Amino acid sequence: MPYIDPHIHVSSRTTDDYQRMHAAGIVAVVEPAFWLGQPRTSVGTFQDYFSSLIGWERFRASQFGIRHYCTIGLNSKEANNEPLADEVMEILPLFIVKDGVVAVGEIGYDDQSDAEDKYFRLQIELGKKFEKPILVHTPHRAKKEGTLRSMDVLEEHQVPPHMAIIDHNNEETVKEVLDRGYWAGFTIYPDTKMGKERMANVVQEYGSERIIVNSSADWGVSNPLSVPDCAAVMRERGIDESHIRKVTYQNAIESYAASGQFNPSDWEESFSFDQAELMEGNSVLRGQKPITGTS
Amino acid sequence: MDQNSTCSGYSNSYREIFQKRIVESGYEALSASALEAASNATTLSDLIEVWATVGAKCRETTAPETPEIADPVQARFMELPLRDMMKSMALERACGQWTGPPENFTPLLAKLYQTADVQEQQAIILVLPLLNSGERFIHVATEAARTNIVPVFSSLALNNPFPQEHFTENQWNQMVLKAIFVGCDITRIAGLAERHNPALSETIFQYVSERNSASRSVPRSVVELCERALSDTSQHKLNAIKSDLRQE
Ligand SMILES: [Zn+2]
Repeated sequence: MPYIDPHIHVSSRTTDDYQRMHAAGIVAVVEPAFWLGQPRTSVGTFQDYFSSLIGWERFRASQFGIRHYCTIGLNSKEANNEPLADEVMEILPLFIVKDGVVAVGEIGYDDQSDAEDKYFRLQIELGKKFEKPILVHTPHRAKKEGTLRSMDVLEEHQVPPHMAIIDHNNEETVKEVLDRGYWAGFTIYPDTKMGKERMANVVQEYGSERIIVNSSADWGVSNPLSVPDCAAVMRERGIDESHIRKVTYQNAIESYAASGQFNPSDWEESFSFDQAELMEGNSVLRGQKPITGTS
Repeated sequence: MDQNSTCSGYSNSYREIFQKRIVESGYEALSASALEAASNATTLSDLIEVWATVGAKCRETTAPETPEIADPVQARFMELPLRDMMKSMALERACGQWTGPPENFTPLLAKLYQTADVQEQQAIILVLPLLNSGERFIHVATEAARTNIVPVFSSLALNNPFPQEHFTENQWNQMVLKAIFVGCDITRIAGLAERHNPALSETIFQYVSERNSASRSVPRSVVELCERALSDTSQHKLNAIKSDLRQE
């Protein structure tokens, strides 16, 4: 069964992870632009980061039979450096129009500061201008309040709810997000916050309509196999296969479809990979025996 | 072989294949308006806008299934999606019709390359031989010669006359060596014979020796290139290991 991880920071992961993800059935990933654990200090490092999302990382994923997409945006944490944030805003359009960019994101609130609010709104307008969905990161602190506020702001800017994914939900936020018509992303964390068992409970209670599971795996403690692992738990619970498929594959496609950049045909038919063409010395393979196959 | 004729043969082929693909796919109108807009471009954002329009409106986003074209250079141009080929032709038009100071076009192209996705980078590199005063763009070509993204590297190294015409001996040798390392078919390098030099033969000889010590095979074409300008001393050493050497 194929899976999509619609939110994973694969740039921070190793090639072992890519191999395990491919073996577990992950056919496509979306890497939202985020921060790197410490704040950047110049616009050039942002530009290089965005370039790597549409260049090197896309190529790296393809070597392991995984189709890589990304979202482009200025994250909330780094929005607090206003002079730099203004420079980043200037280069965002260069990247938002690129092939394989499926949304503006992940944007939203962290501390819920005035600067965060300002750049959240400016980027919502950017999403509207380029007709891209908005991927909203909800804060880990004051989550409920931050989530409601994010949706209020989207409504103020007249973003139709099907054009926004509200991410990192939990039991406290899910009802309102679904009631207001948005896509609801859930991040499965290994220890804290949302876990696989709780996720299965959510699907049992709310069904599979507009619910999306992701790993948000990055440089922190996280699991790049969260999506297939969570599917296994749901299967053990006896949740219907059609629901599992929706929350671990189909809804991801539909939520990003409005970008015109996320098409199953990209990975269903034409995507074959051949590591042999890379050989040693210069690729991520460094002399190992290449694997040849089709995703 | 005369280098200019190599370049113009390549350029004519590129234009010809582009025209053919445009007509076959029915994108004449989009192409005409994109090229028209490109000829009026005076800034990076103008060109980005042309590219964005092409990206949004041209649905030919993958390369066609193995086309039946005997000519290797022409076949090469079919490996690029039509959409990206259209972007490259817009770039060529913008360069040809540029009315600003010529030195301003160089940083524009560099920035375009730095912010490009994989296929756009391939498109830029493939169209370099069509741009006038190509020496202005050696820096971008050097970036492509260094990249780890193999499809972009191959766009420069294989069947492309730009390095043959513009690279210094050192740059040339590095490119050929890298092509050998990543397993490219080096017989597809334009100017392989013309630009060959003793220093390159010696470096390749070291590579062949290392491969042999590690009991790994070497393509026959690499050994042949190595022997083209090898010193007597190295040739002796090569002869001594030849019976063990696995050639493929
Ligand atoms: Zn994230």
